[in-house]
Order: sequence, then C-alpha cells, then structure tokens
Amino acid sequence: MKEKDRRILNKLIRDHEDVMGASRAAMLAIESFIRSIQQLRCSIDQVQELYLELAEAIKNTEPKVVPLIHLIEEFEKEIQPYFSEDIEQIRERAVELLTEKLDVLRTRVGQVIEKGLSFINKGDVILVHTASRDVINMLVMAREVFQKRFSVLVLKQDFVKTKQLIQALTQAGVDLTVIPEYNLSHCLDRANKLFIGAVSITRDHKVVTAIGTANIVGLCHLNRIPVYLFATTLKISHQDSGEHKIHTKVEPMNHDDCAYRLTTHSHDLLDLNLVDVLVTEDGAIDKEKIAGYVQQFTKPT
Amino acid sequence: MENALIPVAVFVAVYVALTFELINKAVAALLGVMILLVLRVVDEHQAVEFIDFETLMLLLGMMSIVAILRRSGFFTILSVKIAELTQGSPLKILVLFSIVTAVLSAFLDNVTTVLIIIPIIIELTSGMGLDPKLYVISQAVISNIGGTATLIGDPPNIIIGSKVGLTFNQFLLNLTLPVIVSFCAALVFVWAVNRQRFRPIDTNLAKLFSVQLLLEKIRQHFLDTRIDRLFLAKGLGCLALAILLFVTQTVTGLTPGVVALLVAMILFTITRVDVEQMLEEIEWSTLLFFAGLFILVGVLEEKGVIEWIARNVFLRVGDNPYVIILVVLWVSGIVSGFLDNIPFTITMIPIVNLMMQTHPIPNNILWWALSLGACLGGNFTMIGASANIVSIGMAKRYGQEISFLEFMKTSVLITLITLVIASGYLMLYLWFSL
Repeated sequence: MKEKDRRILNKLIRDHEDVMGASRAAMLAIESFIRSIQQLRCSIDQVQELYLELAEAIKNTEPKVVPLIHLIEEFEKEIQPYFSEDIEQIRERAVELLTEKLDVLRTRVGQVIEKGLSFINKGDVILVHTASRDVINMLVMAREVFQKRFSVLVLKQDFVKTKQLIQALTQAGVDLTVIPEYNLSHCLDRANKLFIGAVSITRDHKVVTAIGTANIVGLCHLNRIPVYLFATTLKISHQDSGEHKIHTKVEPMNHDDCAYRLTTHSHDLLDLNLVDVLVTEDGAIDKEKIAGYVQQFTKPT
Repeated sequence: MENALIPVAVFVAVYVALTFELINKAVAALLGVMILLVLRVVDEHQAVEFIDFETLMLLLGMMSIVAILRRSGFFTILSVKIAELTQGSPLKILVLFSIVTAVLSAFLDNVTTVLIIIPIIIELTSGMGLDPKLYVISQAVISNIGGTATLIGDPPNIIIGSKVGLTFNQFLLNLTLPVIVSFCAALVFVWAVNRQRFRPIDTNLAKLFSVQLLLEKIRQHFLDTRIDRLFLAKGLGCLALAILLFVTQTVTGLTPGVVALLVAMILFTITRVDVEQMLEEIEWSTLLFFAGLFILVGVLEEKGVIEWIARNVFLRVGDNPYVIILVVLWVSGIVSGFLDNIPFTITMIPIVNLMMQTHPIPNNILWWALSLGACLGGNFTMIGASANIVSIGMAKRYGQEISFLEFMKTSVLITLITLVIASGYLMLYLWFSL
C-alpha cells in the first residue's frame, strides 16, 4: 500500500473514532471492509495479498483501534484456510466471517449499554465529556425507555461531537446544561458522576481516551466525583500504551508577530487508577478489582 | 448621434470599473446613472422607463425560490446521494456530478449550483487523494454549459428572454440540443486529456475501503441537520409549479417574471419562513446592477450610439446570414470570456434587434447565437462567469489554489469546442430554416 493511501486511511479511521467513539468506528470499519470486498475486482493470485494488506493497515492505524484489531486478527486467522478456494467462495466466506465479527461487536456493545443503564438513577447529575455514540445512546435510552429523570452537564469541547450529544439529549427530553470544559470548577458541587468512554485500555493500565478527558478526570478525582468508564472487553489491549501510536502533529503557527511550532496529540492517556467503576459486558468492576480484571485479558509479555 | 459624448464616456468608464473590479458593480452602474442625471443627459422619469422590470421580477423571484429551497436541505441530500452513487470511482464522480450540475444550473442560477456542488466534490476527491482542482474547474465549466439550456439558467438568457419576449419553451426547444452535445463533448475532452486520473479503483481494496469510510464521513458532515419533510415538500412542489408555469407560458399568458415572483410569494406564505432573514439572502446588489445597466444602455440607445455601433461594426460584415450569425456568436463568446456577460448582453440586445430589422433571419437564430455565445463564452477565463469566480473562491477556502492559467488550460479548449459545436448547430439550423 502506498504511504499516501495509508495516511488517508489512518486519518479517516481517526476522524470517525473521534466523532463516534472506538466501538462505532470499528463497526463502520468492518461494514466498509465487507462492502469493499463485495466491490473488489481482482485475480485469484492477488486476493490474499490484498485482503491481508488491508487487514495489516487497519491494525496499524494511529491510534490503534483495539476492538477493531482484535476482530481483524481473528478474521485473518479464520480466512486463511479458504484462500485455496475460488475467488467467489473466498469473497463469500470473508463477508460471512466479517459479518460474524460485526455481530459480536454489536452484541457486546449492547451488553455494555444494558449494564450501564443501571448506573443512571433518578436525580443524578451526570458529567459527560466527549461521549461516544454508545454512551449517548445509553443516556437517551435511560430517559426515553426507562423514563429516568436525571440531568446531564455537557462539557463542550469539540463542537461536532458536542452538537450530536446536545441534539440527541434534547430530543430525548433530557435536562441538560452545556458548559465549556474549562468552567467545570463552577459545577463540581452539582455533579455526582462522570461518564467517559475509551479507545482502549492498555496492558500497562492506561486508558487511551478523547483529548481533554485526562484533565476532567483529574479534576473529578480530586473532588471525589466517581468516574465511570464504559468499555467492552474488546478494548483491552495486549500492548503497552507506548505501542498504541497516538497520533502526534507538529504544525507551524503564526499569530501576529509570534511564530512557534505547536505539538498536538490526537488522544489523552489516563491512569486506570483514576477510574472508579469500569462497566463492561460482564457488568460493573469496582475500583480495587479493575487491575486484576484487565490483567486476565492481556497476554503475557 | 446627438450629444452622445457624455453617455459614451460614462458607459466606458463604468465598463472599465466593472472589468477591473475597481468598485462594487452595482455602485459602478448606479454612479454612472447618477452622473447622467446630474448632467441632465436624462431625467429620472425617463431613466426609470429604461429599466426592464420583467427581468428584475424574474431574477428576484428565482433568487427567493432558491434561497428557500437551499434552506430545505434538498440540494445537500441530493449531492450526498450522488457522492454515494459514485462509490469513489473517479470517472463516475466526474460524470454523475456533472449531470447534476448541468441539470441544476438549467433550473437554478449557476452560482447557487456551484455553491452546493463544490464543497462535496472537494471533500470527496481530496479525501480520496485525487486532485480536486480538475473536478472544480469541470463543474464550473459544466454549470455554465447547463445554464445555457433554459431561460432561467443564466443571466444572459434571462435578459434575452425578458427583453425580446422569448418563452421558456422556445429556449428549451432551441438550445437543449447544442447544450447536450456541448456537455458530452466537454466531458469527453476532460476524460481524454486526463485519462490516467480516471482509472477505476475497484482493483484496489484499500482504496475501496477508504472510500466507504469517506462516504460515511461526508454523510455525517453534510447531513447533520434534521430535514423538515413538510418544508422540503412545499419547496419542491413550488419549484415544480414554477417550471410547469414556465412551460405553459403560451397557454397561461403569464410572463416568466410574474411566474417566478408569484411562486416565490406563495412559498414565503406557505413555508412561514422568516421573510426578513430570507430577504438578506437576495443579491440586492445584482438587482441594482441590472437596473443601472438598463438605464445606461437605454440612454445610449436613445442617443443613437447603439444604432451607430450596429451599422458601423456588425452590419459591415455583409449580407450573408451565415456570416452574421457566426459573427454574433463568436464576438459574444470571446467578449464574454473577458468581460462580464451581463452588461455585454444588455448592450447587444438593441444591436441584434437592429441587425434583425436589416437582415431578417428566421426562427430567432440570431438570438440563439447571442445566448450561446454569451453563456458558453463565459468559460474562456476564470473571470468570464460568476460561477467560475465563486468556484475558484470556494476551492481556495478548502486549500486548493487554482491559478488563472491553470483554469484556462482546461477551459479554453472546452470553450472553443463548445463554440464550434454551437456554430455547427446554428449553421445547420439556418440551412434548414432558409
């Protein structure tokens, strides 16, 4: 694959992950993989190389989208025996396998939402920062289906993402207040929990999260506001945080007569110790058990 | 030609100001009118009589309809659907977007069309790692070609239709064929010259994958507002009504200006939009520019300047109707490429009228020559038509700088090809008519 194509692919995955969260971006990537396989025209000699080349590129995005990596790794193993068949059978089998992976992911995300619903109670004032599509859906479901009365403090950061959150919550009739994230200190006495999502949980007990999350979590931790992290176990990585390729951009800036080079990272790294409750498809894991729980999903070094 | 020196000097000064964009075009035209009024070359009552209100009504009506339709989100939905249909194939992007651009330009103004199409086409092509410039230039050129097909598609046609009294159907019947042939020729030319850039992507799995992700991104980016279906239905219903009334103009007796303004008022009433806000979207400066130009050209006509130009320039070409038609077509085409085609058309109408009186040419062929020349000629340079300027401006906003020469590298040959096609069509039309 050409470097230019790789850069384009990385950026697209990152953009989707940024707006929808890692699980939804993974679902979209698998759906896109299925559609591209259906459209692909190539000879039998090229098919294996093309499939594996794309799988490799998907596994090495910046940052790595861990649920996607797990599912693509499984796909790579399972498709191998079929490469000796004819091209239509390979196509058919690849689509079947990827559809299975998609179903697995959907089921697990559904389970996390289901488990998470029990943490939304009447009278709660929930802080939400750059929520993933799944956390948004959970809040909407709590209000619309379970008729729970709670308030949400939306920490405005990235407008595209905040806009989706505001639109969804307003439509569901959730009482919400929007504040800039730098004004959080004025609302800390009102909030009683913080909901966050993650791209991945690394082997060295870090959480790769959306930019700005680390500051908010730090402030909540200092003020004893419990931090709830919602993530499927597919987000638990076999690698340390240093291998997660968080995208770094250095760009020249020029404001009036002041020139400098600005370095930005696409995601935050957060210490897992700052998370009070981890909610996965297995249910809620309390603070003291989180490290051990995560350990069982990581491979030995 | 009595006392013509002052109006001629004022007219030339206004033209220079317009060409070099020294001041706002409406201010330039109205300042010229004011000078004529102050110097008592013309009085206010006479000046008002020179204004063609039919043209202004048509422009105001269409601008209002387009402003409301844009709010409905219809055009955005349409262009996102087209982006999905292309599935990232570079050739399909060119062809499908060009068809939409041409059709929209025929029924809306060209600037609105490129404002809708250019952002999506840049997002799509640059997201795929293609060069968006070629697509931007193509869409600008295609919008000018598509706009040539109807009375309401391009300002020169609006002016010709209103001032001469030609109907919507006459434009459609007489210009659709050369426009379709020109459209196809332009696409074939773009494809043939850049064949390497239009290679299919369905042999590259990674590219197909990226395109799928990109299309989803475009869907999210452009369709993030909820569509009010009732508002959309009202908007489209009224657009259909306007087209129906344009087509049945000979039966109803309603002029295009009356139809456009009537439908706009119905839309304002039934959609209950904030009228003040909508009126802000009307290009008042364009309407004032038109009014000013009508007065300036009216004064020249009254002073006998137009007749002098017609007799000493255009009527010198001889009696051969084929030559007369070709002169009108090519002079209009070349001049429109370098000067604004709106004042040029307004100036040419009385000249063509005189030519028609001296050498009657059947089936309004001379008017079609003026229309084809003025509209297609706008493609010669990036300053030849408003759609070109707006497209280049939008591309720049998206980080794609297109130079004057870069634009001309594609546009000049397309313009020459389309003018040759128009010449062939008009020659054949005349041959069958004689």
